[in-house]
Amino acid sequence: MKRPAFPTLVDLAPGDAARVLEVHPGEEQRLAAEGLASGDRVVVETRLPLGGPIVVRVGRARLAVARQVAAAIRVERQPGTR
Amino acid sequence: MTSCHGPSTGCNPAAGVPDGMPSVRSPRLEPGAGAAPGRDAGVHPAANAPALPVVALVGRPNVGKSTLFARASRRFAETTNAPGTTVRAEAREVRTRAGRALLVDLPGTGSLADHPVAGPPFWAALLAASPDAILVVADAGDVARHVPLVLACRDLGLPVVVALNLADEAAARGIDVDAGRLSQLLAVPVRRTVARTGEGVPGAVALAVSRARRRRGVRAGTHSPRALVPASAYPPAVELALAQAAADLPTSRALGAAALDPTGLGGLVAAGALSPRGAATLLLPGLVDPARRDLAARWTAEVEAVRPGRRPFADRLAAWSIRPWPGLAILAGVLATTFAIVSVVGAGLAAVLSEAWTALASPAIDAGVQTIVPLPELAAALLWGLDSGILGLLAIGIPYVLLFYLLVAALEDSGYLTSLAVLTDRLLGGLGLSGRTAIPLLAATGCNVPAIYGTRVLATRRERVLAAFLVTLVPCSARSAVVVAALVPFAGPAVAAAAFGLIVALTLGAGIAANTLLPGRQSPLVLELAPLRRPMARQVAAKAGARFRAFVRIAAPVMVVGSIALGLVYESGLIWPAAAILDPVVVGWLGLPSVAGLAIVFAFLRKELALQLLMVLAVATMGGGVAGLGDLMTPGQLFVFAVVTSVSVPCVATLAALAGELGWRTALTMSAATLALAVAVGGVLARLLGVV
Repeated sequence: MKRPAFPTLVDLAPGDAARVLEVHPGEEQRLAAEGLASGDRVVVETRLPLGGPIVVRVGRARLAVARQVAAAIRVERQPGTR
Repeated sequence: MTSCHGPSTGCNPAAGVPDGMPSVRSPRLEPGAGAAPGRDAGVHPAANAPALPVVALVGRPNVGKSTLFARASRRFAETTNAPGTTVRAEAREVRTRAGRALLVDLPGTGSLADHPVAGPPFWAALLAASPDAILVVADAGDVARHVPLVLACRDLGLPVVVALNLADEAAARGIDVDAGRLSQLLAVPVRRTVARTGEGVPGAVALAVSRARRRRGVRAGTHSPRALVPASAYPPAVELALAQAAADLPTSRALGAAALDPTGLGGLVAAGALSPRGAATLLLPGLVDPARRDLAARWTAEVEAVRPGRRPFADRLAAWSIRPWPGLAILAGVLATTFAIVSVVGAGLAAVLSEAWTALASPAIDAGVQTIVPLPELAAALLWGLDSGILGLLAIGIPYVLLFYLLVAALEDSGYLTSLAVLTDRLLGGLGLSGRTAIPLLAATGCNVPAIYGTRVLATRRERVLAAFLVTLVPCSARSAVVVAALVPFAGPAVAAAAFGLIVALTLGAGIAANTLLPGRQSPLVLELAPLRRPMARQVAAKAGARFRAFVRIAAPVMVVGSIALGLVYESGLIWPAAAILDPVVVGWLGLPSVAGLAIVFAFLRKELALQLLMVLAVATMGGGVAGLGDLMTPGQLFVFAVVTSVSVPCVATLAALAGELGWRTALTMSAATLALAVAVGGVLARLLGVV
């Protein structure tokens, strides 16, 4: 498999911060409704084991997304967590 | 989806929305919503608009909208629970110092363009309520996230008031918002509120009501208009596109206007429900939303000050609750506590209520029925329903179901159920379900009927079917009672635990099989986590009470009428030929006594009745020598009996709920599947245990 040019949310570890570059059109509307869109800064709070969901902080809200949704969110790593 | 069919376009806003809208249950709104096509032709919508000014409540999920609604109308009923479960709009009359108005509570929404489940967009539900003003409930602790919705409502061209809610929680997190400055930037009034205590609520609602009244006055020509829409802060390119889209709105009043106006927005603008620019913003969400988010970020930086400090305990607990450790330990503790309370307190309550009924009500009812009804067989059949049927409701309904509703309502109110959904998402993913399903599955252990209604929050029909199928296999309190009462006294608690383990394994296996057989894929989890809060006693009691009343409305007639029918079959002697028909399966395959088959079949009416019925039938066939179930069946037979009763066909109330929610075909297919599973597993068990 070819590695994507940018990491997705799945590639981040707990505590990592990133900026959302692009959301796959298939998931765009659902995520935008929950308040996650390109340009947002996210911080990974927890990754549930065995392929469970990833919990991120978007601003002050916390959002749980399944791995397959997280894989549709391309991000750019940012330094620092807070 | 239709918009106005009328030959001329005197289209009222309520009629101009697509079918399947959440309907607003208010007699005052019905004349508009229910008008026959054409009858309102040429009539200005104001003429048949509701008599009172209407204020719509809009806000993101879990921001406390429904709590504010309850405070404003001074009545706590079925209010917020897990996010996104206010499925229907509800309207109530409120009295404020600015006068009376109709307050309409709408489901939580991220934007006006959201499709709540699978239906028309949110704005259609909003405009169907014909609001004269909008009260937007926003989170004082997260202004940046909530301001875009305020801007979207303001863009509609309707008066807007903002309730900056959860002000107490924001303060606990060290967040301070300059409400005055925010009000200047938004050009709408902003009031700080704490809906849970009621602080600031009357003022905010009264302000929205006065704005709504003024708009009514302007439209009726008794008030002069005031400039409502401020100069836009959106970039010029966005404004230009909006102006163009507004100018292009279909305004034709000729025949076929509906075809030219598929969204119905042209008609709504013509009816004065919103401004042309407002309609344009609804048509171009992709263009306006980024501009709103930019503004929100800029303005938040200007109005918000954050004092550094320790995060409140509730927030730290919320973070722990979703980590594997200590999250799973917290989950185990919550579940163990729930079941301990339900089984210990529930069993105690059940005993007290049954004894009270037997001692006080039973003799009177028996005597009464026997005096009025001359036929002894008929009297006995009636008593099956009026005496033991109601006793069953008292022994199961009140102690177990009500208690369970109270605990689930408290969990919902605390916000913990979203943590539960995150923790169980991976496990349920194996069954084709997302973590959201954990909530109805937990409820199913109390009673399957409300759990089936609870599957409404799931995104797709596939998910609803899978979840409902699992719900029917989860032992409810009545079925758990059968397993416990049949096995604990005669085979020991370990055997009862083994039976529960087997039932859970069968449920998981059937879930995996159904997920494989049913075409399609699961919709993956996207869920905003609710912050943890201390549950509010009044709200919990009101919520549990409302659900319990709904449960009694469904279950009570079924229990009473079903028991009378069963009584008639028994008292008339028709029951014995029926037993003979079942013998090949019951005696030959399952290795059970003939009467056990009848108990299993009639448990369809009332699961917890299976054992009671078995005793009655056993005494009737074998005479008074049968003192307990132990004399009738061996422990092996009891094990087979308990598993088959629990797994086979859900009870009649569950079947009715399934049919109502998913259709008869699906309901009957599920019942057939559970019956086949129960008979197959029962036969194998009978052979493994040496019963046959």
